[in-house]
Amino acid sequence: MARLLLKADGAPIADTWRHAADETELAGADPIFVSLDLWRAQRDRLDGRKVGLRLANDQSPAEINEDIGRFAAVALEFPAFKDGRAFSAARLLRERLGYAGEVRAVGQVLIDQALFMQRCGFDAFEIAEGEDPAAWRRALGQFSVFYQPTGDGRASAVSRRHTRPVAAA
Amino acid sequence: MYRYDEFDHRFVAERVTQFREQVARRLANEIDEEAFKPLRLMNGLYLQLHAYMLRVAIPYGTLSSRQMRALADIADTYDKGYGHFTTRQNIQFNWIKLADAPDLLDDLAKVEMHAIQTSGNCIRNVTADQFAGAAADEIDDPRIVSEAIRQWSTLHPEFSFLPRKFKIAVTAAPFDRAAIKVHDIGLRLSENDDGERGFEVVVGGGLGRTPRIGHVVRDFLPERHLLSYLEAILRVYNQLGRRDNLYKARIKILLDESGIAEFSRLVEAEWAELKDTAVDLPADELARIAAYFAPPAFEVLGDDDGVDAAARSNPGFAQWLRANVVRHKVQGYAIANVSLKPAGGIPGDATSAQMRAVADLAERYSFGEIRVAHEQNLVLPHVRRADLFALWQALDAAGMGDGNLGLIGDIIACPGLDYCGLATARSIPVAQAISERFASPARQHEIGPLSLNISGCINACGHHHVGNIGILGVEKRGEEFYQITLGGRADEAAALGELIGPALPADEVADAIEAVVETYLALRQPHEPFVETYARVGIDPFKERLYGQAAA
Amino acid sequence: MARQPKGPVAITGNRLDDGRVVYFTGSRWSDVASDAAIAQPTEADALLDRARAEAAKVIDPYAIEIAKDLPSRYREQLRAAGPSVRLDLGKQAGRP
Repeated sequence: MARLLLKADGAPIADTWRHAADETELAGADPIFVSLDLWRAQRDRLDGRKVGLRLANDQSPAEINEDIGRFAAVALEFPAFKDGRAFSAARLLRERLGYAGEVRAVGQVLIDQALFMQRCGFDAFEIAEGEDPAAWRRALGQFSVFYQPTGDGRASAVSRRHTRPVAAA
Repeated sequence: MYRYDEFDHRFVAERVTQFREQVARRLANEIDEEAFKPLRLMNGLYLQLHAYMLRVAIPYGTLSSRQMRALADIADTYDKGYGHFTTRQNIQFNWIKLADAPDLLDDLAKVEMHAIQTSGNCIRNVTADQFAGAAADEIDDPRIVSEAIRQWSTLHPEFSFLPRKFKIAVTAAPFDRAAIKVHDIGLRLSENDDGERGFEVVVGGGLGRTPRIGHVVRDFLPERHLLSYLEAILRVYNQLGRRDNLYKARIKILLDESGIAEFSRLVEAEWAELKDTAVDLPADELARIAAYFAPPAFEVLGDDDGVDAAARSNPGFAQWLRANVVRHKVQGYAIANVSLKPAGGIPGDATSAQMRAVADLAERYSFGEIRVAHEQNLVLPHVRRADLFALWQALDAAGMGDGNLGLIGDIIACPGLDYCGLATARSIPVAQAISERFASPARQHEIGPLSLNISGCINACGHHHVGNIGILGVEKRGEEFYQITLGGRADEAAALGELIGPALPADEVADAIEAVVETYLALRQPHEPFVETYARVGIDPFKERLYGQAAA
Repeated sequence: MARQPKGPVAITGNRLDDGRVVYFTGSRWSDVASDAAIAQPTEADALLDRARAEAAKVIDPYAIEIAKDLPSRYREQLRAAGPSVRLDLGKQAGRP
């Protein structure tokens, strides 16, 4: 099924990545997403290639830990939109492991979750072709007040309430 | 009480705009019901038996007169002139139209209210002791941290698609009026020997299909680390809570399955990384919130308040005084409980006229402040004792003067099959039959404190598991039958009720309750409340009386 | 349907814009219970299919069993009438 890739601001971009389902799909162009199992089994074969990690949502980024920098991108799955485990995985990737590559939402990815995803650290969304990027852009800009600090770089309401003017040097 | 600042105002306004767009897309069929349902649930909008029901959040059960008047206006404008106060301190309107919901939410936003996260698999309304700020036995006002938790939990990006709903309750007194032991997280504010403020953290309580009393997961959590610790718990739950079975998805099941020690280990490990990060509330934010809960301008009053004289000359007032008036921490004041449980009435329902009456009385007698109790009554927390008689007369005239707080007539009941799409049986007619049977105030006082909770289905929104007498409606052969449990408690000695025997048909329930009460009265020791007699004698005398035989 | 009903059925749902209980007449949706089309067991599936095809403004149509012109299940009798404890509200009172 054709998918559309949006960046964090809702802008559509060409998607150069493919998802390798098993070792028979490893041959061919990079970059490719591989599952954790496939990575562990085929690590040597993938050495030097542009590889992304695709985590199922019962797998934690902690299972990769210091190796995470090896991956140019991480794809986190939403098998059903109601299953919010990947929100935690994204935050751990960004805030615990300091991961700076692309974090992509794949699976059942709804526009009404876009801002939650972005706040948790997702910066790419694989959505169904035919969805309207303009609507996604609007959804991503729908709030200007956020109560909780995350790794998204925004000031939370709490910190805005108590911002002290910078003391004179 | 808390007042919105520019950030809070802007937030609810943005939320209403977002929901208005979501509703427009739904009405235009641009999204289907499956995708829309979680969105409307996160805005407290259920599809019930007869119409949409909107559950408006009343944070930690606190309302101003102005807000109560707004609820009355909403009842008249968008509904059928009444609302229902719930067992989680919220209010429900039963006849809402989806197309009206955005305008209704706009009206709520004008008075600093909303319906955010009163449903859905997210963190729900934070409930707290309804006597907060007035109770003589509290360490501090639990609503301060409740407000901090409310904000932290509102549209939390990581925790909006949890395995299941999540309920948090806070108490700050040794007598737990907030039922913290039957919440997903219960917090009891305390002070340690060094005078440091902190919380006993209880996790995994809950009712429903698999009722559980919560377990203490941490004896003492320093107050300044509250939010990082909650974040750790929620993250562990979000990652590990079951997603394969709706009936095993609450955190209580995670605790069962991993065990308390392992669960604590996971939480503490996560918390070690989160502690002292940006999520923990800085002292000046806590102080900012606390300032809103500063005590009102209490007068210095003597004890010559005329109450006893009024009681001697008016038996109705005397009964109300005895049951509904609770000691206040300030000399000369009292906590006045407003009964929404007239005999034969619908527990927790109030007409818009009654709401306005309470708003006016609160303004006149209680610094404009009202509380909603999870027992589905209202509270005027700061009434001068000298005003109690005049207050009661006005309440009585408005049909809210029953002196039955905590007595058998003070029935807690979910809406049941008359309204609720999840129900298996009706609950309200059972409540009405029982309250009519026990209408006599003298008899109620003679029986003494006795909580009676009725749920119309296993979801237990009536909290029947923790009623001294609990009644659960079930369906048998297409008819409504009722199971009775005894010995439940929601307080600091929380306990789940024990099933007394096979379910009874509807028309036998009131007689059965009479039999239970008579058995108690025959066995009790002087001044021994029902629940203590039950603890002492056990279920057998009651079984025998009802079913003619004790357990084997 | 999972199994063929034992007796006649009607199709009901809730209207999207106001959540009110509605019944399929065979061609459209009505909030009057007595307008409901009744199908014999062998036609039940067909009626439900037709209802679903017309359900752009109705949520989750489903079949209910009817006996002697009334819904068999008490829950459906309540849906058709209104709350038993507020006879002044709902369809039963002309205040849907």
